[in-house]
Amino acid sequence: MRFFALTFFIFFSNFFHAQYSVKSIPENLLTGADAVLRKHTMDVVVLAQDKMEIRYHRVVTVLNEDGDDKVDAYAYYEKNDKISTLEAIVYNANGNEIKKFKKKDFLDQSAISGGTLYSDSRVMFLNYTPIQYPYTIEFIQEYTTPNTAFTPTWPFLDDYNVSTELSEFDFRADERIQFRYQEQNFDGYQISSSSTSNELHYKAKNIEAIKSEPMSPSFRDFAPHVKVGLNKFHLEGVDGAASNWNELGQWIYDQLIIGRDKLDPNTIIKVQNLVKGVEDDYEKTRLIYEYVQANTRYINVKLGIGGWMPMSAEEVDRVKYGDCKGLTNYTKALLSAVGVNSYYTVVYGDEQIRSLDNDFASMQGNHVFLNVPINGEDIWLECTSQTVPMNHLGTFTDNRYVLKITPEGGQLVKTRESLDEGNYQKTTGEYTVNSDQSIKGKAVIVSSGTQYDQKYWLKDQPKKEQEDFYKRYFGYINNLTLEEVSFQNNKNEVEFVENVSIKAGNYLSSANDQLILILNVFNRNLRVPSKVRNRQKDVVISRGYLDEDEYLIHLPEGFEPEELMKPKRIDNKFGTYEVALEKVDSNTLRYKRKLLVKSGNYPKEDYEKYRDFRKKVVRGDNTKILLNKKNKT
Amino acid sequence: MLKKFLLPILLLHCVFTFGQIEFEFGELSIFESDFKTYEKDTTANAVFLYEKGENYFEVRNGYIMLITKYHAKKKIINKNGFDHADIEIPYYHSDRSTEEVSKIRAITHNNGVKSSLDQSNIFDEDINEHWSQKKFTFPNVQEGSVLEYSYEIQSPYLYNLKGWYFQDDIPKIYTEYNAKIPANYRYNRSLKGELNLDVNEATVRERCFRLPSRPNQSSHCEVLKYVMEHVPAFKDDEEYMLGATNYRSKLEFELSEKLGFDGINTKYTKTWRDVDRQLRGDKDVGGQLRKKNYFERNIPLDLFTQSEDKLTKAKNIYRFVQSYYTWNEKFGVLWENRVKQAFDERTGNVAEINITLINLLNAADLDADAMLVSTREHGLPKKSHPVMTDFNYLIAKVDIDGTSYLLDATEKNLNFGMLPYRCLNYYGRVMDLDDGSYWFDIEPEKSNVRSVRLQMELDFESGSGSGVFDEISTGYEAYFKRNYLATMTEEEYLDKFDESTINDFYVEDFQVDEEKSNENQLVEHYEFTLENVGNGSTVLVNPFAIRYFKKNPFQSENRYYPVDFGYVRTFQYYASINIPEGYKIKEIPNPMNVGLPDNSGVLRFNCNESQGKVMVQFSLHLKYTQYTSEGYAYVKKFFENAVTAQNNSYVVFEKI
Repeated sequence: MRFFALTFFIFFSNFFHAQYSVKSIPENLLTGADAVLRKHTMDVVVLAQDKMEIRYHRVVTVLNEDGDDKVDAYAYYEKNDKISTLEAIVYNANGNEIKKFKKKDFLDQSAISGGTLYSDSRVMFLNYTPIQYPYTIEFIQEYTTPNTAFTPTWPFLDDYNVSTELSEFDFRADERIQFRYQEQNFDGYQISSSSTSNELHYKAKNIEAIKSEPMSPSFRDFAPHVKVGLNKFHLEGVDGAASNWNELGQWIYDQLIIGRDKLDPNTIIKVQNLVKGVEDDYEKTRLIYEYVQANTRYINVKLGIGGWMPMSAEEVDRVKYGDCKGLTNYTKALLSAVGVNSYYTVVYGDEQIRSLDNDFASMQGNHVFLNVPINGEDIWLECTSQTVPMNHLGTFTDNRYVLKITPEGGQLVKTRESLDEGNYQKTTGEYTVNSDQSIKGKAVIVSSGTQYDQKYWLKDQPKKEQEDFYKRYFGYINNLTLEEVSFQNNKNEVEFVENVSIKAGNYLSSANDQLILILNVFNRNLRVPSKVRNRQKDVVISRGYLDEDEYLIHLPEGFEPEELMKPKRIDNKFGTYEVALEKVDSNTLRYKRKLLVKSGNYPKEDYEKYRDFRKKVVRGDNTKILLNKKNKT
Repeated sequence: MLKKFLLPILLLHCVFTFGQIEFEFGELSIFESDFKTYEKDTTANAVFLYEKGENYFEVRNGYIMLITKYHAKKKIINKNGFDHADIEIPYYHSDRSTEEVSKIRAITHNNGVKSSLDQSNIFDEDINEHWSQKKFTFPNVQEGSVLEYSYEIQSPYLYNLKGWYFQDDIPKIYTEYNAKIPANYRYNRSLKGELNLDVNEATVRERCFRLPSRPNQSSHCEVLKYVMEHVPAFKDDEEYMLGATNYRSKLEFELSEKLGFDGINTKYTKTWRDVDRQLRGDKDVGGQLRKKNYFERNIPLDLFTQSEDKLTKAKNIYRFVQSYYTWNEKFGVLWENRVKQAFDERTGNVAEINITLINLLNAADLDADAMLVSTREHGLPKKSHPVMTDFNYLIAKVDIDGTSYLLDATEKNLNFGMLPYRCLNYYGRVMDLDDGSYWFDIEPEKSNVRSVRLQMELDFESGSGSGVFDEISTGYEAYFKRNYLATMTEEEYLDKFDESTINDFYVEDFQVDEEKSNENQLVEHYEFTLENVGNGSTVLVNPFAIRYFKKNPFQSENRYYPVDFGYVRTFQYYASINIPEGYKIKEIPNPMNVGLPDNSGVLRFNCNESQGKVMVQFSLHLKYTQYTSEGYAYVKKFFENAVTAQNNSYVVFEKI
């Protein structure tokens, strides 16, 4: 009997150790993968409205250096969270344990991100130097949190270039607690599930890695995941109840916003004086917004519920700084002092367009800005910026669903979309070609729409930054000297004007008596998206744009073009490209160019076609002409 | 003569000192409240109007404490200067004791209106095990605000008297440092950077320091005052520079000696002989460096017996350590190393890995010592006297048959005898425990070449081209290329390669030529195609299918510190391009032959037609590792020429 037990033990321990051997990973999970999630499980138990227990288990085999950051052995925690278990085990390729980390071996640090002065959020993490590839790290975390407002979203796929061998998600709630859940992008994946009124169970096996490709839809739009939300929840000492956006908005209003807009009477008098004699709400709003922009700056301090509740308007008024919530709430308070109604609005602020989930209400978004309805039109104010013009959304908040917080509850509304032709840049210029192969010229560049976003901040930059910008912008001109720059920011029209004069030595090349001139001096678009072998995902152009150019070219005395460039026109579903060159007089040419890129979604087969289009644009923008000495002919 | 000359200067200082009237905290001088812009540097977003620091010793609660007092006034010139309103005051702590930051005061001055910092808005944040910081931001900051703040640090760590940074990333109009140091503490001091002190005073004050326990004994103090005025901002965002700490103006202190009232003198550092003696007696350091028995027992035996040849033996050992360890990305010098533990875990810091190497070399009866160096970032070590904190890195030096080799086993792709780029910092100190330490120069590998030899066939009928090229890299160029190749798959490499070249250039096949590649060189073989070459009666072709520099790496108009390449280097491009049938050469690019002063660099470019082909020769040779800031304009122009030659050269083909 004893003998038997012993062999069993040996067998068992071998079996146990070998379970994370790299050999046992199915072949299809290795293709295109930097890491494999061997086992990824979470067990969530909601015991009460303000008590949630989470057991998290993550075993990652890292195949190469790019996979190192997929270990993700981070435990973020708030002050009131209790981490009971935290450990990690490292295995070699054969699945043998080579190192073990206990809770005390984890580093404990403040979880501060950019722009944050102070935060009481903390993170415990592992500092491990891999000594060989592949290796496997098992990470186990168990903790209790009162903050049930953030029930986990469970991803069956972790990221690009990561495959999943086993993923399991269990969710249980006390009978008295009601919850909602939603499955997303399950199509094409084999995910087994079972559920009862107070339990959910999901399991998925062997999901292959997805390769990251340029211009593809965002990962969350196609990766399978399941979302859960409680109808009654708790957040840093505050209870809440909501099962739809209206109710959630109501809760935010009642618990986090109301009463935070009190102002010092002196300040009220001050801003009332500021708008004295102004009747128009739009004009009042402009004055208040400019006042906020001129007098405050962005600083983030996050303490407890302060991570979700704005700093009071009074305090912002005193210190003249705040985070997005504080500054938005402050602007709202000032507007209300001059009789203009406005609404605190929650959004996902991101260059990549991201909406709040239309049909699944939960604590979402990462940013707050202000909505001011004036005569049936939505006016938007970005209160954290000292420079953005009034009602300019830019790429950070355009074209997406956001949550407007009103005293009557939350309202999902969509922000404006910027039109392709509205993202417009017009370059008008002229340049002189000298016989010493240098050029000298100037251009006026007028930008609006998203193209405004790319430039307006230049005006307030130090000279050096401005020079660097143009050295990049005209990066194709070697030996560029920036002679003069001046700017005009027409905030009311949301239009940015650059006056740029440049010169460049050795711009032309020579070959004995001939000069070689590349015509497009002021706006070459040389970007071609990188080659993708075997494209998998659709192609997304989220925002289009239109560039128009017109330059006068003064040729050096005694030179004439060998031949004029033939006009070119390309017209396809992605856009339009046109260039033309015409003779004005014996010494002067006129160059015209137009590039329209249209926003849209295209099937994956179109990727190469789009690249072809962009290559043709590159070729067009690099068109050279030969200049001959006149007496030669 | 000298005296006569000195007197007026001293007088001036007196006048000056009177001019700088001491103000109470919270008061601005007329100059400060009227200050608008800084004409000496109109790009500055913020300026220190005034800054004063003070160090002295005081007995508090029975312990000698080092007190630091700080007081500053900053002008915020525009919105980009708002970041300067965020203040961090780091402090050190250990298990037993801690530095204490106290008396933080901060006031924002806006046209005579003062807004004070609320003490509840001062935050305390842990940075890591030993460092924390106080953090705050000023209230009510506007363009034009003057931000004034002061604080005190009480430190039980007397060696934390570190000195003073005169130069910062914004200009300073006036910066003053005072220290009152009892004569029983001796500090080495040195001034770094290019700038001169405007005030440099040292006086002695009698009987200024005594211990309560020995009321009858006292020591006199040295009272120091250093001032710099109109200190320009320090900018270090340039390519190819040696550590910024070499050039940023700073006064450095290092505790060298303590003469106790009890008659016991403690020397911290004084001469290298003291250091050597101390290290010899240091069980920890000596113990780590003399662990050869341990390693003998724990490594493959044939490492020592494989070859009789000393150099081969050394190389085998080097490769063993190189492949055995994974570096944890940390540096390290002589202290606090755990070599055995590192060996067991197969990972360790630089010092642990290289001490393993030294032990093994010694176990093989080779003559190896530890050499202390400073990385390029860390700055050049002082040669005048030993300052141990000047060193942050440890390498091995081994002497074989009269030749010295410097070794670092942390990087996988490094050749025997080469050091990583970060170590190319001119010299270090070899810690020979038996015969005494000595300085030793770091001489980087001399042959660092990237050479492309290319053959290209053009076909103007189809407007395409194809060809092959070999790229041969040696020395550091080979090392960097190997590292680069190791970070990605071949597919990724080719995608990146295609993107980095001119448009319509595609690599069809790529191989590292294993036969021709060896320790000294890396040979890569490429096959490529070219599309959209053009057709018609006249065709322009840039003969540079591969370009070394797309842009001039030197963009700034001026440079205030030397250009430092670390190692000398050469780039070559040789191409042979056929002249397609039915075409003839109409034009070829003009030759170029440019040099740097003192023949320290050569750039040559030449095209000619020969036997139905265009032959292209291009070479760029940098013969110095360092070029002074005075020579910057030449270096910039030199690279401008190189970029122009590559980007703006065309061979013009014409239909016959």
